[in-house]
Amino acid sequence: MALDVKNSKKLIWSAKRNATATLDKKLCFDKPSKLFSQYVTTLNINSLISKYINLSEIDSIFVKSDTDGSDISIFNALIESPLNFKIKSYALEIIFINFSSDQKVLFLKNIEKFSTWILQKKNGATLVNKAEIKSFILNQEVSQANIFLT
Amino acid sequence: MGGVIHLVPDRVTRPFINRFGFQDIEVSKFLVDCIQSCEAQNKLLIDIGANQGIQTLQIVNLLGSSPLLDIICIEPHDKFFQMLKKNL
Repeated sequence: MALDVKNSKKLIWSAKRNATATLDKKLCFDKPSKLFSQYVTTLNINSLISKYINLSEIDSIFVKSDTDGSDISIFNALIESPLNFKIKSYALEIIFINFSSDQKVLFLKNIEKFSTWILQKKNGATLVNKAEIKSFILNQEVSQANIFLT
Repeated sequence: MGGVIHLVPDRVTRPFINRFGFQDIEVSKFLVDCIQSCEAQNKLLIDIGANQGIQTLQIVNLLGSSPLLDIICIEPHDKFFQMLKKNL
């Protein structure tokens, strides 16, 4: 296929866990004790990123994330971190399967800081009204869509 | 343009990429628009759940000769991470 990257690369981080919530949805509900038993190391998102990038030199951050398992944990951590104010836009692939209403409410709280929301359903239809997007997310048992936040 | 992308055999991503040559291109285009319209000098893209690097590759290719930006890809699953390393 026709993809090419000319930029330089650097290996940054590798986890030791042998499964992700992409493959096993139950992992979305992992408790800290379970993570500990699986030798998962908890990382501070700021420390992780600042190990490789001098954050004081970064003006703007753009993020792509999914909403399953560890991805949503990192998303939540980024939003709650001091990096928050540098994040200019977020593209999230929403895959809510068996998400509790509490998890959905937390997700909606975390995206509240963005002024513009565009939700694109898998059939291509879009929602731009925040109330409609909230309703879609809260009321669908299984939600699959992209949401673009700026 | 050119090069080869390495993909884990699966029922979703690989057949889609083989057929169309891209995946979730709307996400790539949105981020490229945001990156290009931002006047800040030092920009960072974080790809959380980078999988096999498809989204990052698409963004980099769409950016073309735009100013460089730093990119951090995070992928916890070893099988996908190995492909990510090959692809970037």
